[in-house]
Amino acid sequence: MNRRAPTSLLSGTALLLSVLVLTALPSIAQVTSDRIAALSDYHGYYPCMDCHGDQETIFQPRILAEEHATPLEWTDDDGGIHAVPYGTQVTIAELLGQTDRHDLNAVNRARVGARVGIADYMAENDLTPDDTVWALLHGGGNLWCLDCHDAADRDKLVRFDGQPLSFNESHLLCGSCHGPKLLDWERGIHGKTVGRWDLRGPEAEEAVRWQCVECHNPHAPAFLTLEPEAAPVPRVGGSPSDHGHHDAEHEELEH
Amino acid sequence: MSKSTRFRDEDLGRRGFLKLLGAVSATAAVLPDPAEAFDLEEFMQKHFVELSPEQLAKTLARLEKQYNEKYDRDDFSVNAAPPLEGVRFAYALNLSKCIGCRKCVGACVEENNQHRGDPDKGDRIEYIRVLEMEKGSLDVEKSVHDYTHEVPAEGKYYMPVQCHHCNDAPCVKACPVEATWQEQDGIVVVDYNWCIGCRYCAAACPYWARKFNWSEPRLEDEDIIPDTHYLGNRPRYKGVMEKCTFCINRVRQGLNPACHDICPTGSRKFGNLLDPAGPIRQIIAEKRVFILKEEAGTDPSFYYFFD
Repeated sequence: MNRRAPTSLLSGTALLLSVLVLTALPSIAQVTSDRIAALSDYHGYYPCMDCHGDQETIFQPRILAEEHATPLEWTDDDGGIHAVPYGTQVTIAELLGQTDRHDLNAVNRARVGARVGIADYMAENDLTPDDTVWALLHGGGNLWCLDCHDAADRDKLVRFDGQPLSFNESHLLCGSCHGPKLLDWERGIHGKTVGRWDLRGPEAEEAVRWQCVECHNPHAPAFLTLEPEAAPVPRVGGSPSDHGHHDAEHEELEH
Repeated sequence: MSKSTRFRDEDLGRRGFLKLLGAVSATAAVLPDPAEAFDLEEFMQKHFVELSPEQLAKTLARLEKQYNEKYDRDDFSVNAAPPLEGVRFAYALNLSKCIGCRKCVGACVEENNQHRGDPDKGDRIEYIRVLEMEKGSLDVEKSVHDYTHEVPAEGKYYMPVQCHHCNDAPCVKACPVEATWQEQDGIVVVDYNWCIGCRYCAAACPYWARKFNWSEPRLEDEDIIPDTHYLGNRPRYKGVMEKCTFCINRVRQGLNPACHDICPTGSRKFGNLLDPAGPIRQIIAEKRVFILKEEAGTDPSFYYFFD
């Protein structure tokens, strides 16, 4: 017996569930004054932000990304602070050519293949295919700035279908490729919700659901390794998996 | 020197004096510390669940006074917030996301006022043990606990283990004096004033979740979290058992456990098992969930999952 529900029913249910869950949860992007105050700490961290004021509305540091790969910063002769972008320099020809090398899904292929804005960008800056641009460490090197940033309005993001998104809606941009993760995030399975466990009580507003970009650097989402906190020390003469622990007083009590 | 004269002053040589000193020290060690005056009220205190509201209030006030004096503070508070109606706490941990950084271990030690002695001797009580295991294996006997290399390591995955707050808890059954029990909200607690320190519960626990205070717990003033719960993070005594309480002092106020909020990868999920839209029920419905040592029949409130 085929126990599978019709696809349309399933997707309809999923949509309804998502809407219900989203409306029941606290507001997703809570831009607090503390976060805005933290902007000054991140000068140079988001280089685009130096010129475009609305680049990041969530200034909570990407804790995990920072612990894994602290951005290298340097100061130029004029005192300007710069950060190493999360990417590598490739020629435009290489960037364009890369779309054929990866087995991207249909949506991503359409999006990357279109290379939104790259022709305009080349014309504006008088670039040839031999000039270099930044290729991001994201999407197998297939992505570049204007795949996600709106070529017409740099204070906006843009989805693959051309729909502009606010920086507060960056999860929708991420979800356009990472759909299952977005669904998990909406249901509280993926990501972090800190503060309170009761998301339906009177104080649910105090719970904060972290956005994708608060943990993942969208320009280089892969995490490097990190040093763990101190290991537990085994009792003298024992192995780490021995029960109990040891010091002089313990021996007193034991004997 | 004959045995009969060995303690005479005139015959007591250097060696004899040291022996005598050792004997006196050993005797002093087993006697109560004179600084800790005998407290009749404490001695006569009933089991926590049998305390009347008046007795409970007096007990909490007595403990606050005791802790303030012991730690030379004036801000200790000990509450006994009861279980919340319609709440059954449960925990889920995403093994696909945990990177084994042990941040949960540190946050737990800080939040729960745990004993911190000489770290070089391993003299610290930790409720959480992070196991490093080979991908594809679930053999905890071969897990590595004391890894120091960068994480996550190639080919490894990490499984933090703590109290599973079992619904059929072997530790509760093993306790001869009912000093440990499961509350209505699912949290397995210990009454530190009722525990006799027999450690039967530690032997019974298949998750190695119970930790014993072999020595007088050491806690520096700057490390103290003064907002405590009677069944949770209040300072413990030498010779009593303790364990994870899902941070009872936090979760009964609606807050997440400390290990949950510190986790940098969002591997830890906590919530009300009775809430169908909550993350725990969503995870149980959607993900590949398993419980550790299912064959032990403990029916834990702690789930592991992969995604």
